[in-house]
Amino acid sequence: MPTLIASFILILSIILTIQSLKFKEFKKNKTKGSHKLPSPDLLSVMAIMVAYSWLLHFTGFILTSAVGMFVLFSVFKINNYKRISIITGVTLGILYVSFEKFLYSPLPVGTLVEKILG
Amino acid sequence: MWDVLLEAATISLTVNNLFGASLGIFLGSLLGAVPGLNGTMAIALLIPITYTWTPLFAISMLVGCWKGSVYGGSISAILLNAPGTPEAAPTAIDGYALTKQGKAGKALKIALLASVTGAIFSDSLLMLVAPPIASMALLFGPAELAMLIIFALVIVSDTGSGSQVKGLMSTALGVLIATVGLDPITTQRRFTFGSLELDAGIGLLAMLIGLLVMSEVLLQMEEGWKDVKGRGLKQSKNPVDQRVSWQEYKGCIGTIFKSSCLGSFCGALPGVGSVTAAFIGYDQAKKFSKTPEEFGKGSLKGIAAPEAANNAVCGTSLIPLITLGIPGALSAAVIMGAFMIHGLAPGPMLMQEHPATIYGLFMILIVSDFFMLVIPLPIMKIGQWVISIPRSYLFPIILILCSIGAYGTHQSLFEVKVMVLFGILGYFLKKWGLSPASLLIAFILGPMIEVYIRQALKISGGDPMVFITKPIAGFFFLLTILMISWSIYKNVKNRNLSKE
Repeated sequence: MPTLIASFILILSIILTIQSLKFKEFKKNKTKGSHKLPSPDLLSVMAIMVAYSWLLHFTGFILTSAVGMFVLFSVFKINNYKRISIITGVTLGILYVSFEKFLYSPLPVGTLVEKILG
Repeated sequence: MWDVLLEAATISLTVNNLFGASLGIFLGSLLGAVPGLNGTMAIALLIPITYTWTPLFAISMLVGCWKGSVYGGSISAILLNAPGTPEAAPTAIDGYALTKQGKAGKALKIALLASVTGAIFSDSLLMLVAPPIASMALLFGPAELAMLIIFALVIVSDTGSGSQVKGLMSTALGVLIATVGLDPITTQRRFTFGSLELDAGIGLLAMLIGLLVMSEVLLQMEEGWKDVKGRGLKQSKNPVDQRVSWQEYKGCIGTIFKSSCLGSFCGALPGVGSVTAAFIGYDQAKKFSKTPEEFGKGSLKGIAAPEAANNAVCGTSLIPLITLGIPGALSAAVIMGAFMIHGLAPGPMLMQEHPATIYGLFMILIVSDFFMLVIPLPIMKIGQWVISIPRSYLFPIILILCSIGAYGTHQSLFEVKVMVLFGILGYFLKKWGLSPASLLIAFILGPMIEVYIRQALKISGGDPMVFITKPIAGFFFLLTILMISWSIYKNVKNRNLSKE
């Protein structure tokens, strides 16, 4: 099955390549899609999310998310730290209470935090 | 018969049961509106608290929750372009376009009216023609289901991307990603790279949140960085832009009726589900519209069609469940568990052993459909307030909600990584003109198509002609060929026109 699908994708890729070389509307990029490079801000958000997903295992949900939200707010050029603290606190508080008290599904504490707390 | 109906009305249409259904609709709309939480999750979360309740109260609340979540998914799809549930993905296309024009109220209300109409149609059908439709669904074996799904895939490949080739490529990519994990028949590992977490395949919810929500945040950042920093989307103060007139609703009635029929049919077929119904509904509405160019730019029919179709699935997917014991959709499978917990074994004997309870349930469903016109209104208001918040405040919160949504499904941090990966992939797919919606639907249908094809081949002794020679399978094969030919013809015609 996977071989069959991969062959189908290969055929479609060849058709798309021929189309882009042959037809004017593809040359002029009239179909949907763009090849513009992502902006530095956008790349930062991507990098933060990759780091966040990786760090969750070590530093747990609450700590990583709190730091992650602060960093994300700074990428979005919000410097009102009092407001950021309130938003972060309320969001994470609601999530913590919902998961721990109502859904009985504990949020990950993180291996590093567990080690420190013993 | 009349005695049964009278008894059913007496035991079912009580304040308690109707309150149960209303509570379900409210909770479902609320949970469905949160990207990453879907109807199945909401029902699964509610089942444990219904153990001690009466069967009718419990099941009406759960079915109400399902209906509410299907509509609720459209709230975030329309307001944030982030479908709360997968079946709301096609609603986002025209719904969000209207929101950008400042007409979010109009989009939400036509979605609600179409949802309610679709649900009433489907529930009435469930009550009236349950046994004949169930026997028709029995005619669908693996070969027929395989061809039906292939037909559905060809249709969805036309959605979202500018070119047919890119659409087919997105679809094929979705089927390919669905093959990750253990082979469903031989249990051989495929593309797992030694990772135990990948044995069960890629998590649907994590992938869905990444592809639809995170990628959208990234794309919106790029498309409107100034808008992100500034105020949220401004809404028109003109009341005409925030409500649906009778004329506008009348203009959509034909589309709603057609989509309701399509959705009801998809619901009655096991495994097809509301996601396929919503996409087919949208695509058919566009194909048969006199003004297809309006689709994607805020067409009311573009919102009404998928909403009527996905809500029409709920009622009829109970037909195979109640009459044959086969759930028509994932949420119906969870509801099947609730039936069993409450001592009602779904199957051919259910209607004979508990006729009053089952007809009572049908009655509650129809009455609660009318409640749906009112119950989600406060959630709509909250949603409209949310979009007025600057997106620079919303985006970090949405990104954290995406992570918790992905984690919450299986309490696995690996799912968060999957979500982030697909979020970034989704961003590039959208940038390159490939359709994440087609990829996603193909990913959902991929495992089914593989199993049905292999089962059909096993039954026929490896003869591929089984997909053509069987009448129903042959019919869908013919429809698939016609659909592909029509798309090629349309593309060639458009190319010739642009040359001129």
